[in-house]
Amino acid sequence: MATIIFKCPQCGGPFEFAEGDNSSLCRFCGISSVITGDTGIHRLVIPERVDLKAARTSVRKLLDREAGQEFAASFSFNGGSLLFLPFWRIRGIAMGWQWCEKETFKEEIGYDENGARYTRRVKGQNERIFSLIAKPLIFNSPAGDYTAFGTVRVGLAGDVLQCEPMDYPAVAARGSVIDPLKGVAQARQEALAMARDTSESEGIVRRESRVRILSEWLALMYYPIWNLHFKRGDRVYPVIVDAVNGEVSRCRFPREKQREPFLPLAMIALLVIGWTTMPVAGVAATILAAYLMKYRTGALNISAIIRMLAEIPERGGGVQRG
Amino acid sequence: MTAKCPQCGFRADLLTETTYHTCSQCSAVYRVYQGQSISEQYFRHEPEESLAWGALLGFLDTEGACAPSRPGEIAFTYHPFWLADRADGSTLFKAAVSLPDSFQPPPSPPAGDLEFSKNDISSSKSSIDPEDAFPGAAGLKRLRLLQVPLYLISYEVAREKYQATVSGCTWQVYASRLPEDNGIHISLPRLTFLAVYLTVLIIAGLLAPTIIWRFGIFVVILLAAWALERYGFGRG
Repeated sequence: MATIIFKCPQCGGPFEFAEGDNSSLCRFCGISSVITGDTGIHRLVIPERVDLKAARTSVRKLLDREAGQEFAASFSFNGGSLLFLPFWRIRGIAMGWQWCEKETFKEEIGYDENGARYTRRVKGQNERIFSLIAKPLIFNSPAGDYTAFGTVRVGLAGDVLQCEPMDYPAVAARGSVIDPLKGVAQARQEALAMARDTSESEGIVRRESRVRILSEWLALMYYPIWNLHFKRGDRVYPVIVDAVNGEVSRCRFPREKQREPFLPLAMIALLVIGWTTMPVAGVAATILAAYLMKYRTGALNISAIIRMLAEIPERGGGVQRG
Repeated sequence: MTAKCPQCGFRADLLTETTYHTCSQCSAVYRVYQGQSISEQYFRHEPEESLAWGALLGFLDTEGACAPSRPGEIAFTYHPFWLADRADGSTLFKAAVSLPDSFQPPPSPPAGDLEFSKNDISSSKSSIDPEDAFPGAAGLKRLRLLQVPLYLISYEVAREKYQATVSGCTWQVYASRLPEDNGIHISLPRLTFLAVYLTVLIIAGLLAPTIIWRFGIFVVILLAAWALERYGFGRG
């Protein structure tokens, strides 16, 4: 359960609300305060704990650790912004019933004309199972399509960290506040689908259920992330860093090794000097060029030769998250 | 007829044929469709074409596709999309104006900071009605028109044209096909540079009187070509 911290309107002391409460007493001056939300929905924000510098350092450390210092140094930081992503948070008790009809089978033992024993699987009567559902429900659902931002651990953060009431001007001054585009009705449907017991699916013929959320407490919880850009040459790579724990949640940095421009020119010169001197020297130069090619690029075929002459960079590997 | 501003709630008397109206109180622009006001919102975005081009190159790079050697044509636009909330809670998202041929629209609404449209935003007006955008979709509860910042980029690889759409909100790239990196493309400037270099070497090799002269001339030509290349000659 999350704790929401306010400043007491009378004494200014920290004033704690448990998630789901609407009123509380200040433990310093004893005044009672009531929390109200915007059009009935509480808006909470998890404050960022990682600043821009720390987010950049986190990306650098990841690149350094996974691909080496030279690879990390090939990317330069190109700017970034703080985003607050809204998540629907539904808390309550899922109550209802569930009924399902399930196929059953039993093994029958028989004997054939030679007296040999055999077993066969025979379909029995369908089993009808009725169960009541009553369980606490805590559900977090992104209020939009956040596939571009990787995995955001809002559920864990919402349970463990202290939240603040949403002060829009103050939060918007720190970063962009993303607007919810997915309605709460869809989030409720997802929460109810989670509450239904669908763990058993083998042999189920029919399933009926009616589940409702009782004592529902609904909030929009804003989670901070850093949206950074790194550059290599004229290429831009977006990176998402969790602004609470500093983890890189999404990035794609491909490895690209630039070719040495001197090698193809030197090989052409070697071949021409050999073949314009005498045929034996030409053959020797060709063998030497082939050896050099194999030694430097690891391959000796038409595609590798053309790639080297065209100076197409070598690709492969790199660092990827999300 | 009267219509209610979706932002401030101010009621305005409008002509029956009105399709777009600017609220006199809050300056929000909204669409009037069959007597109902539909909010029109746009994602706040500062256009930056170089970043969109860089995002496309980075995307091609990570996808292992062949990158274009020359910058493509970039057109920035606020493109209208219908966002419909259905009675069952799900949402539908569809372009309200068809994108030009071969440009892929984003499949879902991007995450961004939404604002009500003002008259100073140059955006396209919707040309596809909601019924045409969502044929057979019953139970539409709420309709919104979202102006999504998009970069429509046309580029060329190996004399073949490709199109890509870059979202200005998330810098995600949408493309129906990518140039395959089969590794046999040599740009014309590079080919010319190599051909001239080879010709000069052969002529020098044939004209040089002794092996020492030949070796000396070759070293000079090699170093000159290397220096020229470092200055950008022969780059695609």
